[in-house]
Amino acid sequence: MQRRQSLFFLTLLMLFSSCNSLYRKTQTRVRLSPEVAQYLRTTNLEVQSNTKNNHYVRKAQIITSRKDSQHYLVYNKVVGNTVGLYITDSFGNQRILAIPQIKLLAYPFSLTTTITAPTFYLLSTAKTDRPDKKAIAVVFVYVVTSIEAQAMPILLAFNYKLRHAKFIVPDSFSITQLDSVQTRNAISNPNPSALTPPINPHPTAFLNAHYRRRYQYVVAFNQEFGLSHENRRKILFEQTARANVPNELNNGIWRSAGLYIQPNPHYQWGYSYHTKVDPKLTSQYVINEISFLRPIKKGTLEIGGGLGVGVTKRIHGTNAIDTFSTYKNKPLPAKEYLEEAYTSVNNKKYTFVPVEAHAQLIYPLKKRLEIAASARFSSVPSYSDYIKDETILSSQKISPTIMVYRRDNVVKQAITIKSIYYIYSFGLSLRYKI
Amino acid sequence: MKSLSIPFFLLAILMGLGLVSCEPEKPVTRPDRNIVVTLVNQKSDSINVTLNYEISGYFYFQEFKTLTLLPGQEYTKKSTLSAKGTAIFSHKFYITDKLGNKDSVKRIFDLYNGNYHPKIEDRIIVTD
Repeated sequence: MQRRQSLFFLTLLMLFSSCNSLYRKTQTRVRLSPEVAQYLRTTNLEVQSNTKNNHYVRKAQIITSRKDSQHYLVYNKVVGNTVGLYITDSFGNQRILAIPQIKLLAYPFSLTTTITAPTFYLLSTAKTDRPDKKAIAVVFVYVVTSIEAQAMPILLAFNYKLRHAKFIVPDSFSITQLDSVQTRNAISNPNPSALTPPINPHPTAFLNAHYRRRYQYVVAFNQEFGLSHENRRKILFEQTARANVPNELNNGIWRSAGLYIQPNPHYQWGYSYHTKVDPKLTSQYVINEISFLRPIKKGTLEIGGGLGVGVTKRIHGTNAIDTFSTYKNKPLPAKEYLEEAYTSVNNKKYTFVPVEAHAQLIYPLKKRLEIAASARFSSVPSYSDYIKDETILSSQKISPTIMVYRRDNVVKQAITIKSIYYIYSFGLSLRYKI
Repeated sequence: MKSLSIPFFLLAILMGLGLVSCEPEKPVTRPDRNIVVTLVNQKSDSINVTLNYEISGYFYFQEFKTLTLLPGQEYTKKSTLSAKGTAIFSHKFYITDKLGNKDSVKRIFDLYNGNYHPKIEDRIIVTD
């Protein structure tokens, strides 16, 4: 239970204090060459932007960074793909310069992407005498989540701060030529939205020739061999089992497919579906992953992890039987034994919240095709249901030719065993960039 | 952002559909009590058996049955009582072998409230 609570609070923490757009910096900056910075210090600087209904004006200033001694033009963030820098000197001469901006698309922290899955899990596994109330709670969470998913764009549209906080000047844009900022005699005041965006001299896969951001979408197929390690086991509903009852999640092949969005070279997020190739059970889950990418010599190192929701069902269980000479902690009389027999009950579904972390070494094969060697850790539960029969075995000699063997079944009940397995898997992945 | 809302909405629908039906069931109990008495002939020759079967509780029931069991054959008498029922089940077997030797064995099951045994099985083996 403690683990579940920590998970819940962790997701709340992520939701309210992470790099959500609400908590982004309020300012953005443009790198300047020393001579441009020196010239602009003598002028009046304003950044203007136009939207359909509003005209925004921001005061701009020149600062010198203590870290790298670089000069920057800094202004409060303002909405717009291209904004105008209005430079006015002491004689009233003016110059207008187009500054490109890109829209940030952060990982969308929301109820839908964070606490919904654990809440569903807690609700669906909660013990209650009123299943109807539980069903209502599950439907309520589902409805709230759906409303949020639909309302998010509307909330963003009406949130003033969020609208501006998402726009920044790309790092690759800089003003280095003095003649591009020097004021001219002619005074012109064109609409900032009519400005021609500057040309990016070094377009990349994520920023095109017009400083417009591009996203890369990656489809990945993965096959891994997973080594299972049973970390802990418990019997649900406060029941007991003295026999060593199997609840195996064998080593074996895991397959997965994922769709990821890569907004910049160092970061990606997306969803992946994982399933175990096993005729004895089905274990499948969807993970919401966040990954960080770091270029290495020839390829890329990807490190990430995520949370999700999954379903498991045992198709073929293993029966078990054992005998004991005690019953309820008391020794049985001579020639009497207690037999504990466990008959597997199959095809019961259970939901769970899987946790996953992975590292991948990605190497490009062709322009869009990549191959990756992956190592993954995941925490996945395994469930087994049994009908437990406790039977006292005894024998009695009636006569020299008659013997009676008695099987007295004293307890018959259903038990559920839950084990948390740590899966350490290694494999290969094919990634295709759309 | 509208494009993002579509996958979240679909995910929410999928989770809703998948999880609402995933309720772990409570432990099941079998309310009936079963009594099974089996007579097995492991003699090298056949035996004649007469069974006097009686139930006494809220009502009384008696049944007589005569049969012949060949070597290796067995006869099973099954009885069922609800968990709340109270009754005494009595099985008395009178056994006569080919040589005319007689023997008998009686098995009585006294079932009352509060002593719930789902199944009691007696296996009577008759040997030479």
